Amino acid sequence: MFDKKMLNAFPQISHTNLINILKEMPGPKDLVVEHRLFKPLEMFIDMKSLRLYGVEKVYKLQESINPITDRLCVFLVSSNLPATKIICDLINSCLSRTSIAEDIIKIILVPRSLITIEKQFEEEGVYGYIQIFEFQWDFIHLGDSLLSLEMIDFYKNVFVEENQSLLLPVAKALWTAFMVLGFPKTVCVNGKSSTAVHKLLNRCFIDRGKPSINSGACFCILDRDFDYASVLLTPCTYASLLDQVVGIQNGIVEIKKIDGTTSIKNLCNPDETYEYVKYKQFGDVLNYWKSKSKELQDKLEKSKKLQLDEMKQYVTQELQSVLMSKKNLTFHIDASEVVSKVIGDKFIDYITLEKNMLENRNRKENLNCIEDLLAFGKGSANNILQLICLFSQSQDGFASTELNNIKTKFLHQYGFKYFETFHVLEKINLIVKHDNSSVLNSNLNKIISINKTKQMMQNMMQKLRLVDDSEHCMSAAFGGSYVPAIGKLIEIMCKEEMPEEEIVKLLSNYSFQVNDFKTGIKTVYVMVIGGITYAEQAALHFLEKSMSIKIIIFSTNIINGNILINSCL
Amino acid sequence: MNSTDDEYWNEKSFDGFSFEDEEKELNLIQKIPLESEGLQIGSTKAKLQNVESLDTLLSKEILDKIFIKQDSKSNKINSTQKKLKGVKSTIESIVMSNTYTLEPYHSLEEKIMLLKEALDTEDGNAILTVVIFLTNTLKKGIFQRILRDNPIAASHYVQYLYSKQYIDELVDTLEMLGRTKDAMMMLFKFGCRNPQNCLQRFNVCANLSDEQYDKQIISQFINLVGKSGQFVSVVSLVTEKCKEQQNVQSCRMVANEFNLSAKQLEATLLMTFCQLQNWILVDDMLLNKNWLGKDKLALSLPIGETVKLLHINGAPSSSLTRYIKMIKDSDERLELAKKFDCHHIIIDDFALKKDRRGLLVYKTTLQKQSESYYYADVILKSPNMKWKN
Repeated sequence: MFDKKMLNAFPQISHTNLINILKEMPGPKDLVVEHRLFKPLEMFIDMKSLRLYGVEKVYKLQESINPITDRLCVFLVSSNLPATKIICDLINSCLSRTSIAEDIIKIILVPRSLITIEKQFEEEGVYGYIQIFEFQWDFIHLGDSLLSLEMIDFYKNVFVEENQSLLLPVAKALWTAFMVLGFPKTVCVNGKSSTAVHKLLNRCFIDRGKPSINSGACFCILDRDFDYASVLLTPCTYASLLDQVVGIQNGIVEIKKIDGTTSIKNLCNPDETYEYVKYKQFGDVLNYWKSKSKELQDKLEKSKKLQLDEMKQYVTQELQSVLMSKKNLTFHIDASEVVSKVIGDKFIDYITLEKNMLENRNRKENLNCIEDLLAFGKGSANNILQLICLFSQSQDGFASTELNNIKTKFLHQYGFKYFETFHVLEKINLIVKHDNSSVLNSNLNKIISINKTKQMMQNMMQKLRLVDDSEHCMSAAFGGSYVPAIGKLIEIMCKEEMPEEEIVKLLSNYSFQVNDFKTGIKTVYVMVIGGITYAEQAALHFLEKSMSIKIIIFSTNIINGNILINSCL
Repeated sequence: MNSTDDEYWNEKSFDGFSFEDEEKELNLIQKIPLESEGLQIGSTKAKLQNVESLDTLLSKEILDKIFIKQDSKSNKINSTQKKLKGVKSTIESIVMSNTYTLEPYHSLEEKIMLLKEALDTEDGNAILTVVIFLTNTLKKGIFQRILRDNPIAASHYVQYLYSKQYIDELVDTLEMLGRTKDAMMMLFKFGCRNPQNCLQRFNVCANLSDEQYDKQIISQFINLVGKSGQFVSVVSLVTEKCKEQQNVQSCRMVANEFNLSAKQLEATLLMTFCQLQNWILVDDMLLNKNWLGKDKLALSLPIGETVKLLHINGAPSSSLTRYIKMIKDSDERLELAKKFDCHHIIIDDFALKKDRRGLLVYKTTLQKQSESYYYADVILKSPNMKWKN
């Protein structure tokens, strides 16, 4: 059975891996870190341990400040060309003034070195001055059983640009995870990227060693495109709505308050208020704030009437926690206010429309409704695109004229620059167009794949009862209107209501490749390539509780509707 | 391309990688021996017959030095099996981030083996590493053929060109791969990012596209950029016009040029008039006189949302009442009247239903001495009413 404390291994492994690299560069050094790496780094390393291994100053990577001196200078950047170009420029500007001492510039690339980057170093003439190291962190624990690699731009890279360079780091991270947790006997794989990662993972097992085998457990690895509805729908729980509207990055939320100040909070730190509300419906949470405020108020009032000896006890024992609670509560109330302000009056409009779309009814009215929201500017371009994609996903795609019609209106409203965005959305099948003329062009492959997507979505929604099952515990993640497909499949696998062969048959009907299926699964490791949503995580949490099984969620990143659409811009 | 022609011809003699459109080139190979007949090889042989042999002229030791066995430059001696082993371990090194070199792989056969092996690993970096090696060492024609045969390799190359912003090459490659629409969209995207010479790019796009709809959208965009000099949307152009001229008709003209939908035009004008707090223009827009001179609503937008918008923006309640009065559906009318406190309409509804008691109760909710209060009174005391209760 799964032991929660094993999850503590991951930050320590990440920590040690980074320290081991620093150990290879003895002596005092400066560390130059790309801005977006700071937050994930903080999850497993602190300034004190960096100091211990010779890091004296930490800079943020930027063009304007050249950190290169005559001593060791370590750059820690993600493997993207704009970041490494800055390093090239810094080195070259240094060279134009003076010479650079030998062996002082080290570059640590996260998660790996790439041919494009090495080529850039070569072309810019700096290759001879640098030494390249590779570092990737392991899964970052974002509370409960949610583990993410926090790879920014993963979806864009792999699904939109079809670049497979990040798959190997994912496989390596999974390898480490299974070395720690043991590898499940049953494996279910779905999707192109997942198949590739699974293959790479097997390669790691051969090259680097095999973990112990876990019976009664299942590893389920699937691509994000298996269920887009869970990403496109407006989520209803507190945490998921907070992520959708404000954004949670590496477990950290940053809100801009109404008075213009910002307030930052790490949701992974202990906070009983958040623990209580994170899976609750957003509407209920608003009511909870009232009672909670009153409770705190009472506690503080009470302290005013204490006798002197009681006072001493209060100050040393309780005061700290009461003040902490107050601080946390203030933050969440501010955050709720921001969320309410952004989605406020459109919330009902969106929820109603989404429900109608899921039920595959009132096709014309739904399109009309999208047009009204668009005309009145209810929601951002991004919000409207999500609705258009959801329409396509749940209502069998668009007829050519329907799509052109809504597309023109969208382009008139938000600008023609989105012309290309629609092309991308069509390419990755988030928007499906039934083009009658393509039959004549005998583009057979295309038609088959479209029909497949069409069938998949409809078929899945109906057969698995994803819609119209508001009694189901998991549907609470979407206010009762949708059960996430991933959760539903896990439920079927673990429930033992069907004979083994039938479960296997059902899974293969949804294009799963199944190895060694045995009933009696008590622990499920689910990995979503392309990112999981907080709403799905909530749903899996509900399922876990109702079935008393353990579900450990791995993901390449956290995704939501905004991130999905932004990846296609 | 770096490879010399000789190498290229040698490699052509390999089996297993014949390509249809190479047939013409293969014919050329067969012609080479024919042309060499011009050399008089036979006479050279004759000359050697009447002289002392080398063995007698020179010692074996010296002869051995002269005829030192050269390493064959061509890689032919290696069996395919052996080559594959080398290829496998090279790709392995790339995947494992160990040092490797691709320099020794000169033959096309090996290059293609490299690619197949890299593709088999599923590692994008290994795939791209080989693809870049291929583009550096093969002539364009062959490289392109390989890309056409290997879509995954092609998409990695395309992504590489994109990340380096090699636009022209990227567009050429996409066209070569038969992905004309992608090529067009790429040009469009770059056009949007670099406004300086965007019109030129958009014109190329319009020519590239083979769908009528795409052509139409691009030409609308070109028209818009020409009109406003920047990348605003049609809606914001109308908004600007509206603020400038405060005239419904001239805005309609701009909107018509782009076939802006009635809903979008109405919403845009409404929101702008609200911003300007110009309720006369709202009247102008919403009310059409029919041929009897009676006002009627001319609106494609849902009336509920429209009234709500006006209410939020502080339109006078007399205007709201007027618009709501014109709604034909009585249930909808009453609902909106209640929502926006249009007491007159509600009172009229009680009168219509002859519901005296209802009206009496409602009157108590109204502020005393207010206009609506008096209005309710007038109705209640009206001698012409025939109440049902």
